[in-house]
Amino acid sequence: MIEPAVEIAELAFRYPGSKEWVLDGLDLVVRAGERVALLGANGSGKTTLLAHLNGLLTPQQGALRVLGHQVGPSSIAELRRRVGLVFQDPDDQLFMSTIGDDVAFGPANLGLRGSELERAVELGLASVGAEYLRDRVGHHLSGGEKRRAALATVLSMEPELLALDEPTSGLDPVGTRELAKLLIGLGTTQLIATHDMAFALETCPRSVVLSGAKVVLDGPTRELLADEALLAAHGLALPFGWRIPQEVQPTEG
Amino acid sequence: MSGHHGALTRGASIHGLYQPGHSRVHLLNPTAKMLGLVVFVTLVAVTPRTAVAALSANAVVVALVMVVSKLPARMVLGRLAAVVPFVAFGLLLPFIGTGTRVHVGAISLSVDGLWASWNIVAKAVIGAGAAIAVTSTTAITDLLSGLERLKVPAVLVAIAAFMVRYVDLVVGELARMRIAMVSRGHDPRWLWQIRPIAASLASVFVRTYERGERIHLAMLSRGYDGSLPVTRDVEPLRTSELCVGLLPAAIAFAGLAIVLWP
Repeated sequence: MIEPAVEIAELAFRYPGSKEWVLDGLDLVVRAGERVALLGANGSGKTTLLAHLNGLLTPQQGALRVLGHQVGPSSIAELRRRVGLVFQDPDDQLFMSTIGDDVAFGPANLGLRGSELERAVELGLASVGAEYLRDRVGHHLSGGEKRRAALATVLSMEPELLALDEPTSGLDPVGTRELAKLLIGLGTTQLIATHDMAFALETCPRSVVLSGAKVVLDGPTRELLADEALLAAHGLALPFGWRIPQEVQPTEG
Repeated sequence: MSGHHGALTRGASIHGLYQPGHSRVHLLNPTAKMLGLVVFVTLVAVTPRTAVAALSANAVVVALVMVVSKLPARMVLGRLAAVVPFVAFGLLLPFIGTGTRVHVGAISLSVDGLWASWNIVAKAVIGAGAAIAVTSTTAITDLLSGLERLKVPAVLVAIAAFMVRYVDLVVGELARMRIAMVSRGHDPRWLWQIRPIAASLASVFVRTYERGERIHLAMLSRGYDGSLPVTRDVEPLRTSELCVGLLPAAIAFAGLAIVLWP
């Protein structure tokens, strides 16, 4: 039996100085190769959950296993290598003086040098069709180019799990379509936090909804998005003029 | 994918310092150029103010480098405006200096002040001119890699790189705030209207601090452990390139040697 990529049981976390739990008793299992959309209103804990996956945050309560490792101080180096986290704002992710240096940053931290490092950079850029961005500086790229470059910075590390935070923010419809096509073609396990329902429907066969610091809905994206009343109950709404035929009810809880 | 953000706020940028071209100066190894600049400016700074011929020769060297670089005169003059405060200060010295005085018509000028004025103006213009020649013919990224090759500590190069990378974002953020103020009727003309500007500066400071935290997280998430990795191989500096880069410095050194020869 294949081990799940992510196993979360009763995960709880609150930020220092805050009395409010951002995650509280959250359960989730993601199988290897799945693409799962994380849906939820602002402040529902999507980003906090993603930050747990490669050890930027560690669980305060509950258990979190990622790619077979219990998330904790002893596994952080391994998780940083195997879990690629793409931040919401590409300008936070593209901090080196050229895109090539940015794409090389992760593999170089893994100890790659010379031809190995070069191969990793080429792989990362080629994965997103951004070879031409290699010598460009991050500031003057378009939103879509920044997004692709940010993705290349983690793909060069050949992650087994990709965690993407609002990957469509700032993208125009064409850019969103191109990104969806790109992610579908990657084949890695993906957790995608998004407010973009159409993007979730296009890229993720499965969605989970976070509300009240836990997972409240989990099911096929199409079925989940078909129930507007249920979505509304958890602070979500479909775009204007958008309706999916209701076929099957998603499982509650 | 989507177009550029901030169309309203696009303007001058630190990356705009570089004037793309294919001149001999453009193609010269950046490390050689930077090393040449540092040595040249140092020699100019230590040249005695009375060595008018040597300083003039240095000025001619800088002008020749600009001609070879095919840099537009208007652009060079515009950037030289950065030394105007120094020039203005220098021009005051003949009037406020002490010691022996000479009279030009009805105006009494200090001889020491005149020399001090010449010293400041000449060296500021030559030094700034040399810096303009290098920064206009070398891409920012090459300047940074040049610093690495000169064995400048990696942390300092990283700080410089972050500054280069993010200064445009910060400036853009300020520009957007100014537009937001103006669009709501703010028309800053007088000192007592400075409060919103001060508030926006404070806001940019907080946002920049928060961005710094997010960048640090992004670095950690890609395996950063406190020391910056080597992301590209450093090409060795060839002797021939070094010689060309140091040529202006050699001329400045020759001028200095002639002046100081007993």
